Amino acid sequence: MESRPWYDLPVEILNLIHSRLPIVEQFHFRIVCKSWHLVEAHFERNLPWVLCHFWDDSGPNCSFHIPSLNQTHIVSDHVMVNLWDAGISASKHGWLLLQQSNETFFFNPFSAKVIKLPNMDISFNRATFTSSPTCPDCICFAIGSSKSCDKILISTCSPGDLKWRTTTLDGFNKVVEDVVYSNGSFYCVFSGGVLGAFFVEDYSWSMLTDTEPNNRIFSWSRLQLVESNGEILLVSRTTNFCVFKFDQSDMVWKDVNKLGNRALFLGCTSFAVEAEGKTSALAGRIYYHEYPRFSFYSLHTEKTYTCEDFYPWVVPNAQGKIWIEPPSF
Amino acid sequence: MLIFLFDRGQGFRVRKIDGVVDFEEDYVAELRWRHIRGGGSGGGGVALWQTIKHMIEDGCADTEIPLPNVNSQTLSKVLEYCKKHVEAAADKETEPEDDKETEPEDDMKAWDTDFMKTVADMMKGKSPEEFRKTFNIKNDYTPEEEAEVKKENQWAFE
Repeated sequence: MESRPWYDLPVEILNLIHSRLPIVEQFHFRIVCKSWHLVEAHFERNLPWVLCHFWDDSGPNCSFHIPSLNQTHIVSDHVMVNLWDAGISASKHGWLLLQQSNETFFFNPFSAKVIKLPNMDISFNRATFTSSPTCPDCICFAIGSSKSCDKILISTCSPGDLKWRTTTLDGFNKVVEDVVYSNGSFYCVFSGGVLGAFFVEDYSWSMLTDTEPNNRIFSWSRLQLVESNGEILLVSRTTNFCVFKFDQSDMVWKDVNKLGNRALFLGCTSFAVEAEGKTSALAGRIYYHEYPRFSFYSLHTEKTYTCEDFYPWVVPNAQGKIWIEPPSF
Repeated sequence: MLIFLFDRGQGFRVRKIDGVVDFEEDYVAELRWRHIRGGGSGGGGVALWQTIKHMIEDGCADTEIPLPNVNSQTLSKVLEYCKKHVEAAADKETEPEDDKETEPEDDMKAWDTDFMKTVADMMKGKSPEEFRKTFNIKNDYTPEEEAEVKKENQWAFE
């Protein structure tokens, strides 16, 4: 009896089979043959994964945690060799910006690619970058400012540059708590919600608020900036979380009571995602890790919950953990 | 309503006939099917059944519904469904009080789920090369192309 070959299955059937596969086999499936490459991703592509790095009996280890499948995948050490011993400064577009003693480099934990940057000559508090470091217009940005120093140091660099370009500005003895890139500017928040911006195009800096702390913005932990569709959001935390949005016309922080369909993920780089479809339950929530579990704060109920549906893992405190945008599929 | 399938030499077709319940025709279709070799295969039972159902609901199945890419196993499921449907209709006509509706769509779903699950289970823990071996698939990537696709997601191929 003649039969239809497996490589010729209709794509709907391929998708039905594919949707039942664990994460790694989903990637294996796609390279079996060209017609099987047409399947869609069967994990939620809007949700960040969690990357954990830790040391166990076998040495350094890394694991990816995939929220929509509730799966964990341990990655062998030699893929992740670059991650060990490095400080993670930023996580964007699936890339990590790493600092290992005085070396700075980009590392993609999915492809294991490394893109080196020149050594940095300033000591910085926060750093981020504009786009994937494989893009020709990618710019990396680092800023240093502290209580004990009346200068602000800013350094920028693009992959391929021979050295960082550093500018020293008059400062105001405040710690820079977070930085975020949006639409041509790096926004930097200092203690008390003081906001400044560095404009990439003309390499200029300006203060967007005055340098006096805003008494409405008080936080037990560091303030965190989130970019969301061109909006600059600020998250502060006391017993509750408070969200503010920077009003570019009035140049003030305004309270945000609703996130709409957005969910925020707070980390070394914070994300805003559109929570729709299967992930619509996440809308209006602020996700973070608090030993030993992932938790979220609901802006709607003004309460904190332990993650059970998505991000249900218990991660030991000794493990480094970071939100990372899911890999290309 | 009765749906029945018959072969016109080029593939299976479905015909809807209102009113008359004719078991014999149905069995004939099934018998004929058993004697036909090959034809396409693959195609999920549910997907197929839904196609048929929609066509019937849209009224475009008053004459015939072409069924491309249907394998014998799927078709046998559809036939089974049709038979059940016919029997249910017949039961209703003879014993209107007796409400023993079958749930063929659920049956089909169960069959589909079962099939997909079996295939997916066969793939768990396997490398792409093992997938190819298991399912007798020729790798139509050049080594360069394959390396290129793998490169972006090296983590999954360690």
